[in-house]
Amino acid sequence: MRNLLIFFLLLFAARESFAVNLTAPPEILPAGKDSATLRWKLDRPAGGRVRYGLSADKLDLSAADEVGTEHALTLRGLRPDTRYFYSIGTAKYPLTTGSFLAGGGVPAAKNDPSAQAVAPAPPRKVPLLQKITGLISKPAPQPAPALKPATMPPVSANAIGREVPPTRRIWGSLASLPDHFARHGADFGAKSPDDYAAQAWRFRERAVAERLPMKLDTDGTVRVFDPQTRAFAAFNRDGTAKTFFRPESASYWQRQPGRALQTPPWISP
Amino acid sequence: MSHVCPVCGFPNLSEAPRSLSGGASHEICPSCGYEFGVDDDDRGTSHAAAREAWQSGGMQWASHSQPPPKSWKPDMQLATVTPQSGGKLIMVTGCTRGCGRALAEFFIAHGHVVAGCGRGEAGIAELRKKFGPPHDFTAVDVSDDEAVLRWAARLITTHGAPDLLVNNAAVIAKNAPLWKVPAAEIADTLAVNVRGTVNTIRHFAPAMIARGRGVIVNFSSGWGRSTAPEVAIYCASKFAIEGLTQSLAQELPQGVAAVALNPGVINTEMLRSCFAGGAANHPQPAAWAQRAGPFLLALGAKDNGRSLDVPE
Repeated sequence: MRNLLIFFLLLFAARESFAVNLTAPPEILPAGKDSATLRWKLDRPAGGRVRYGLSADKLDLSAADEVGTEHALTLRGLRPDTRYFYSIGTAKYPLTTGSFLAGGGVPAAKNDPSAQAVAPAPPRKVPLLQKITGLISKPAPQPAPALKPATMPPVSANAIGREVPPTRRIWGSLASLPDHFARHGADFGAKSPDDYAAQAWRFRERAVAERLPMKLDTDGTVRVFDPQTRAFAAFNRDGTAKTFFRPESASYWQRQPGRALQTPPWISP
Repeated sequence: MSHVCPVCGFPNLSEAPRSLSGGASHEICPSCGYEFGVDDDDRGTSHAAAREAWQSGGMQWASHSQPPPKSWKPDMQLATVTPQSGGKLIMVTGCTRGCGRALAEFFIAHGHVVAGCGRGEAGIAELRKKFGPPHDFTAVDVSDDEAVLRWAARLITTHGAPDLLVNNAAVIAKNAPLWKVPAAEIADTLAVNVRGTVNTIRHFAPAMIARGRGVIVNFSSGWGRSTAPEVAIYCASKFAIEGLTQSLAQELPQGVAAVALNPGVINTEMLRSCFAGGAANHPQPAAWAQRAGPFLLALGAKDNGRSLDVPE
């Protein structure tokens, strides 16, 4: 009975950790030549964890503190004048990412472009005729990129420190993925359908961590937009991606239906 | 359940191209390559333009990864969504029941393309099931200006400016002396009957004016020209329709018309709320639509500013 109670308490704690959010961007305070203090607040009590390293892809150091809403961790032994990348979150779930310069330099903003998974790009201008003819003209014949959901090569760790799941778990309709990649892969410099799907997943994770604007439609579709990078994605209720691209129209996001959403359904408690 | 592509007629889309609220499926039609949410919402390519481009390109199968069905016949597929020659594009508000529903069914039966809206999602889903593309039904509350803006923008992009805009959506408060009508019912009646009509005109009229033709029909009522006790708010809303239509008519350019239309007395849910058992003495909406439909289709620029009645 006692074990059962502990199990449910742990289960409850795990569920709760998914609903935790930052109340504001974290502060990075230079504490000395070889140290920095990261300070942040959560909207509900949870443990604090910082993973950090010299590359966004390799956050191999970590520090943690106790359960609470206000957290401050001082990272010591840093190399002076060196940029460090970090992921702040709970023990279970990253909430935001960024970078800072160790050794008293000016801290980087939370949305430091060097830590972004998606780089900003101006909207593409396509002549009207090309828009219409491009709709039906087939690109130069090329074999359809083969999907290897079960044996695909490992995708590198994302900017917020979590391994990207297999494509079959992150893209809704695998049959249509090559067509989406053919049309929108270039928007993000994707090298393959798997890479394109992985970038959509990273965008989804970042959207939650950074509280990007989201809308929930009547059919369960969740649409997400990053005004800074102009990246747009739509996800099914279960979090699998439907599309990922950069709209050309400046008012595209405003014209999307749905109610504003704080927490998407795939992580709702 | 599979869904039909409104551009090429491909019958096996995995999702409806639009959610009930009008959001795109973001699916790429493997047959014609039209991407819902991009080619329409972002690039402004209408269904007709995409259809013509696909046809002129030889109706090639578009997907690189999905093969066409065995014995795929694009010409037969296309015929299912090609609007009939001479058919009009007609927008009808409040099309899920009553007169709006009857008119939508009449127009479709006579070869016209209907784009309709209503507040009831179940009614919209039923219409979609019964009438696929090129007809287009969306759950929109006409009193919500932003929702009407989105609906109109999408329809104008994908279908073009309407030949006929029928502002039919209306509600009525329960019969009561004015001082006993709940504030919420007053607000809803004015919001739907007056502001709803204004919203649709604001968002569709510019495209009709730009094209230089089209008729806006604003449903009035006998109670838009006469009065009765216990329906004061409804009377007020329909008198407003008469007034705004006549003002609008003076603002519209040559070729575009605005008409206030008294549909007559029809046995609808609304009438039953006012007349109770007496409503049964009046025609059913489907029978009424057989008279009203041809009358509406015959309206033109010559009728601008008139207050008309559906003939008995």
